[in-house]
Amino acid sequence: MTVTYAIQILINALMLGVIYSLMALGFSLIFGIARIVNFAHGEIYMIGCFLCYFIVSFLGLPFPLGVVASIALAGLFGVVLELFLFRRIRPEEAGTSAEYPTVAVTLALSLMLPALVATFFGTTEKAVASGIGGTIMIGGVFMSKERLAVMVIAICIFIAVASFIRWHRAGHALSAVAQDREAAMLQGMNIDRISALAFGLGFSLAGVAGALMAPLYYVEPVVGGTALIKTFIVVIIGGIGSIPGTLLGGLLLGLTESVGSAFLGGNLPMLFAFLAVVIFLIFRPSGLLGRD
Amino acid sequence: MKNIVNSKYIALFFLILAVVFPLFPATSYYVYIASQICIWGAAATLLLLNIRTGLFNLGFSVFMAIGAYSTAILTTKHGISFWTSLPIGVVLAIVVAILIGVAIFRLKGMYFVLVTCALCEIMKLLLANFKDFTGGYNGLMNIPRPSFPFINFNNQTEYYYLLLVFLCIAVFATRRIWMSYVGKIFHGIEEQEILCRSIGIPTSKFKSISFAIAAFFAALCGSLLAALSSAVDPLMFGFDASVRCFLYAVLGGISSVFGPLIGTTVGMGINEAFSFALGLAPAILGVIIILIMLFMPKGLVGVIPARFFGADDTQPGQAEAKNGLKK
Repeated sequence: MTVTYAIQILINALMLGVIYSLMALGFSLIFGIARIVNFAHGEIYMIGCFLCYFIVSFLGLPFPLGVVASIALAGLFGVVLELFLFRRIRPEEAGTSAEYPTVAVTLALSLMLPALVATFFGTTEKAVASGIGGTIMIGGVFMSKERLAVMVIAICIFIAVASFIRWHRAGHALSAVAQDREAAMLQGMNIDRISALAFGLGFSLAGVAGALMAPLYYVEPVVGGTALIKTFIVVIIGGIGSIPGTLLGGLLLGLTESVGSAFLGGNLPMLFAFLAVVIFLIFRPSGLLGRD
Repeated sequence: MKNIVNSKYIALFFLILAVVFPLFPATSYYVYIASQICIWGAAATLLLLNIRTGLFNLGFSVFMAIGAYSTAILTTKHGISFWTSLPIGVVLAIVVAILIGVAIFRLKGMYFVLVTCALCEIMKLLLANFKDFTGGYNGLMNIPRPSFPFINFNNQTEYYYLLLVFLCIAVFATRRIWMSYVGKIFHGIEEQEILCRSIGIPTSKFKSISFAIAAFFAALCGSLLAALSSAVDPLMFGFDASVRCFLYAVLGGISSVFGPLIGTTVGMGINEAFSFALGLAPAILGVIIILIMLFMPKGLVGVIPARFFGADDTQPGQAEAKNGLKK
């Protein structure tokens, strides 16, 4: 087990970790502001992959354009869905069972989207060439330029969104609604618009995660399921409602996966992760750093 | 003048229809579909019981898997008869349900749903990993049909009648449970759990009961399904299956005990009708569900006025409201 190998595993872990954190951040935004468990989050990731595939492999445009397009189009999709769908399905009565329309709708989306994508693009695996080839040597270790680029872009996006939430006025609005919806309404905040922003941002994050991963991993309609499960894991372990929490959770999952598949292989790393999830849910449902 | 057309007669009509239709020679393929509808309909109806206790149990298929794999392993590898494997699967499922329940009932809202999803995935990974036991991703095959002295259940139609009986039992049981004392408590937990606890009802215990009842029937559904398709594999009972059960239940409507059955029939009908084009059926199902949630959130049975179902089916206290409070 050489140092080189260890560093490569760590870089991989970091890359995966930040991507998972992006997904989890999007999911947390939607849940925190609209109180909706977005079961279709993984499918938005899948749509991001396919958007990138479409732009890069179909239309032959450069990879950065694919990333930007996925941010914009996924975000637009989120806003549209909020406007026409989620805004109208708000439970008026109390009681857990009144929540079923929102759960059913996101589940329905999670069924529809892969089916539609499969109809248009087929179910065979697609390849996306990012145009970033070759390896680069840093400190005596060979690393894939592609993975490094993806990692750097993902980190930048995460920092951008986190800063937005922390320092920009609209970000403050998001935090306010997430903390206390009624109080925000009393202050005269436009909850509808803030919800739309949350959905747009949440979907964009999932979409960009998909676009960034498209050249590295599989692009097929079924990837959404795995993406969703991993989002759940990160959100539960890291904690909802805390940005450092989602980063921590994502990194932990990335590490588990990277180290696990290097040394254990097969289903064991994921089984591990799930058992961790269940244990967390039993003993510390708010996650490591969560504040719910 | 009492309303003659009420739900019991409509249900009887459809029951007669269901009993009679296999006798037409042109429908032998549809008997297989109807058999599946019987099983998944029963599953969705029991899931309704959970939903109406406030438990969004998306891990329902875990218990189906327990029943199915118990039957599969016991009948193919140990030569135990189908009927004997049923109670074993059921007991296993109930034990697992109670153990899991103890751990997860304290979770509220979203976390409960997430952990049930996680359970699905864990089950799938467990089934796939222990290949010697479960056949891994390939699953197990050649599961025999149950046997009975004079009836040969290898005949699709005769097995269908067995499943129809099972479905009737499931629906009937759900309704009786819902109308009973326990069912009223379930309803209370669904609507105002904190209030229930404040008057001393041990809600966790009743949630366990609801969970265990659902697990009981789910295991039976799983075993019957294993015999129906004579093969099981981990993907049959994954998150996807739970989601479909849930969506069928919601599509049909969770305000009536017949809702999930109607939803399952419509859902699987759509699956069959649009199976010619890849991916078309789930897309259409998704669109329909979204439209129904937008415009008819009570589901398909929502079009039927509440008076058909009797006072207890929708809101508590409706009987008093109808008859007027006698002072």
